[in-house]
Amino acid sequence: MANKPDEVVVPTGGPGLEPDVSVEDRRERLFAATVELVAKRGYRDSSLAHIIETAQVGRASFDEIYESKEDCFLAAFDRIVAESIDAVALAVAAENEWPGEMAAGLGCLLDLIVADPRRARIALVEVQAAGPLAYARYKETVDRAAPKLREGREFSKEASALPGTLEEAILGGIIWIVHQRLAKGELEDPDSLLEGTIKIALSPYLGDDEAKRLATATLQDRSRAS
Amino acid sequence: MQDARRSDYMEAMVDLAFERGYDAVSVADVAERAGGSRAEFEALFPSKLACAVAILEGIAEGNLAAVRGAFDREPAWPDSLRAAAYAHAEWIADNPKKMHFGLLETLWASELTGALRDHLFGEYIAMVDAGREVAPDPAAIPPFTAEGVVGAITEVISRRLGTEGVELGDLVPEMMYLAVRPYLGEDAARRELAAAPRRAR
Repeated sequence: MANKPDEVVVPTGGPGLEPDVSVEDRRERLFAATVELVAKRGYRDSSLAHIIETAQVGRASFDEIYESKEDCFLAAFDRIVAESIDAVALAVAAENEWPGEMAAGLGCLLDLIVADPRRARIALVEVQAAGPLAYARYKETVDRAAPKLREGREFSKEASALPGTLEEAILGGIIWIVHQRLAKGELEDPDSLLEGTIKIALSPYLGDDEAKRLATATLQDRSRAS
Repeated sequence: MQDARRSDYMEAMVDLAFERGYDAVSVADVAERAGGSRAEFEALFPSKLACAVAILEGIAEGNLAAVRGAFDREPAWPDSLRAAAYAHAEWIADNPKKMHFGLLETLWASELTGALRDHLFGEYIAMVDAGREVAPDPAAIPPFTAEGVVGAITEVISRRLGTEGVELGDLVPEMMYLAVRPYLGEDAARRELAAAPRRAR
């Protein structure tokens, strides 16, 4: 994954560096500062003044880029989502069937979460607390994943009898499980988390035995690869 | 007397949050709606958040009394869970503003409300996870299954809250499918799905 926030160096100098810094650089600094502060203190307790100060960007240049703290936060959310989608697309490219794609995609998402829990906090926890606009944006993002999950119905013997709410429920359930762990800072056992989420996502379509087999195989492949 | 005034302020805040969103409601607004004053509000509650927490405590208590009560009256799972689900749907239908306040407005707002949410959801999770006691192979069920089921149901409900013409009781068979499937398997879950929803009074 490109551009991990750790790699973004926020200089410690005074506010004098402004004129030499490009819009792209300022955007980058604001992204890093937003991720750092909001992940640590929460959206509501991170003031715009503090974000600007941490980013070493002047108020005037902030105003040129974003309209508000919410606008700046949503840009950070959108970027994290876009980069995560790219990473998942890459991870599933080698798979040629839906079950394998799902397992690889879930594995990739968990890897991203473990690699940078701060970004995950922004995309899954804080976005739900950042007001109606952010909440709506978060819902839209989740909805985009539903059709991919729905493809699993092709593997179900009685697809038409599956509940209409199944996909939104599965996504909601998995996000909830991850959300709870992120909110409490408990991500110690990502393997069992991955095994459980693969079972939850695939069992209704493939049956318990096949979902379990795939979960076990995915974990074995990963431990061999690492 | 003091309790009655506290209730007036709490009710005013629930109403206002329903109308314009919790963040857009000020203490002054609440005082005006309750026919009181900022000073009186501040004598009763240390802060806006304290008032919200008191409201949420009341919501959790009322909801749990209804849901847990229905659960406990049925001797066997999943009958007990089904009874709890219908009681929950009914409680939501009877308390739309409180549900809005609890679920959409403030549940994620702070550490304080987070602890309350954990307590409330801990109770829901326990009712779902009671399925382990009747599951043929409890060891095969992932440890956080009930958590996922409760999260899934919360997601489905929160999307439909306040939508015209949606009778949450109609969703109970689908939600029961989700809850029963991991514990008793596909066939038992399909039986829940096929059962006609029980209409509210």
